[in-house]
Amino acid sequence: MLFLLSIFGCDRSGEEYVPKSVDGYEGVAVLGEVTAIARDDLALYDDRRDLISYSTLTLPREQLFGGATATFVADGGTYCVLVDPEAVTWNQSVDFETPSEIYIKKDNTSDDGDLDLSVGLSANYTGTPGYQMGNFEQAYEDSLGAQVTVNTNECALVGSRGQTGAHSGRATPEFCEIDTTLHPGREYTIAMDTWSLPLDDDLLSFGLAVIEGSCDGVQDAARVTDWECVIPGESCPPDDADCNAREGSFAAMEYAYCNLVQNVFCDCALNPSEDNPSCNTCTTGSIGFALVGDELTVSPLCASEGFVADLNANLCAAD
Amino acid sequence: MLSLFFLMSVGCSYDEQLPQANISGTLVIPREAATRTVLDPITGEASEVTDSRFIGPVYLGAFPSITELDYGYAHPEMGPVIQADIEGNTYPYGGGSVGRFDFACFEYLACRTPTGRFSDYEDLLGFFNNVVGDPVQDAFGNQVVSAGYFQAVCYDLFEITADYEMEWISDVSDYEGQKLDRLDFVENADGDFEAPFDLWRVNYAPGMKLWGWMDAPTDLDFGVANQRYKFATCNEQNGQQNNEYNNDFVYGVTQIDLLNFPGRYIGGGDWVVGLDDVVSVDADTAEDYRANPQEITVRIASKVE
Repeated sequence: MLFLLSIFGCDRSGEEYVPKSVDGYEGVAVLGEVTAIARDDLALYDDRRDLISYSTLTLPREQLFGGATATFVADGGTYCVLVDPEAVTWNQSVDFETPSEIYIKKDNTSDDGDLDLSVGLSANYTGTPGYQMGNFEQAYEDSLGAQVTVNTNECALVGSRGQTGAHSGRATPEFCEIDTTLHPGREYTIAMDTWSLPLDDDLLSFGLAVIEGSCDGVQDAARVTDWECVIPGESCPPDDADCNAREGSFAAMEYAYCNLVQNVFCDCALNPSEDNPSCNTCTTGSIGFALVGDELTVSPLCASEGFVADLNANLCAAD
Repeated sequence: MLSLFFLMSVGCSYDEQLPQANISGTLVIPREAATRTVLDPITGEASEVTDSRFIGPVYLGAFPSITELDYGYAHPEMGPVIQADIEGNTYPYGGGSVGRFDFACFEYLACRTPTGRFSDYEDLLGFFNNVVGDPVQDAFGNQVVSAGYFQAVCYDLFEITADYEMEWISDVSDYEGQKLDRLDFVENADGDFEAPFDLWRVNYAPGMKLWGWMDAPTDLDFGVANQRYKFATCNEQNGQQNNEYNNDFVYGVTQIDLLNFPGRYIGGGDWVVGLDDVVSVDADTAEDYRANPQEITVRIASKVE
């Protein structure tokens, strides 16, 4: 019996749980200087795709912590810095507590990654952009000569129990307000430290937005009700041609979720409309959206200039 | 065997050279800080009452220096200001308190019951019902007048079987019948109030200054201000949650950054260590201090206007 167990015990190495470095991608990336996005420019999906900075990280080739940095120059106002690592959107929840089988796309539990956000004056950043990630810790000497390590990270993330220094979990957006009143005209560094890489492809794509003003009202400005939807399609940077094949229908599912038309992914055979009101488009036809293969197609009216998808009514409305 | 015995005997003489020291001493609160104007609940007449139960939690710390540069009262020096509207961190070497917030069984008493102030149930009920004039209410909005009922609620809530298990009860015996005198303050010959204090394992720096303040309770005002008897240093939104049956409240908890950012919590009516009363700890090293602890008396005698 023991002999049998020992044979089966050796049939896996666990290597699939260890991320690897992928050629063509960087482990420590530099996004360069990003321009703050005006709130009025957040309203349209395509505009956000154009203005938000996207990138993809892999495991650093050397034994270093991975991540990405970007900078912005402050004008003395307040900025909302938001980073959204892939992916979190799924269609068929398979968790034990709230299983949902009405949709056709199963959750890929291995496509989520995690980035931890910190922001501070570039003068205080200890890392070397593009080579080594750092932090914002500086030495301070009090009047008696005692040395204290001061963390000058200004990105205050508060946990669910009110504690500072928290970070969001896997694939969840992180955001914070940066008040630059004390340092107008100075350069700030945004450091996004890789906490975990998706195990399905060892590539962590993400989107970064620096938005003018406070974080209050950003979702309204982007006409969404979930922070996940402010940065659209973070799994596939616009300039990554291979990404759609790699990530499957993530972008379409996210689009459907964010526009409240997730019902286009209904499994109609399993859930006919009379039994499941949320699936009513299965029989009545989608209103402004249709699923063709893995692609979510927006109706010509919704896609045309001057119209947007009405997020509440699932209808095309005049912009 | 002999060598083992030798090792054991010398093992106890090893000095770890820790750079910390326990700072102990006596804290003095002036009589005026324990005196308040209260209204007689029956006649409505105002009178001055001196009562050690008016002494709020006292926070003490060791700091590199004390100044009056940034506030209208003496306060510790601060490190660099990193974010707008947030003062610099004081980076204390250590600290402690005389009294801390404890939950005295009723939501009505959350953030209003420091340890070391009340002897027992009757003492607390008498204070709030008769002295402060803000009677204790139970979960049904009824005034609590019975110590027996108070005790029954506490035992049921905490699932305990003895009074000594609650820190806010000071005049009590332990499980062996040994008297526990946990009241902090006693009146001295000058009419002021004294209490011992301990600041455990302070990172020692020669020349460090001891400073602190007493969080005075807010004045009761059932009028427009609708202000109850409470303390600025207690976080009413946090602490242990109680969701048993219809309950939905938190016990409150002491704020976590009192010594690092005292300016956030000190307001008019509080009492601080004034510049003239700041005590300097002057032994050259922590080891020297541990060998010859200084006799320390800290006076919190400067009222913040």
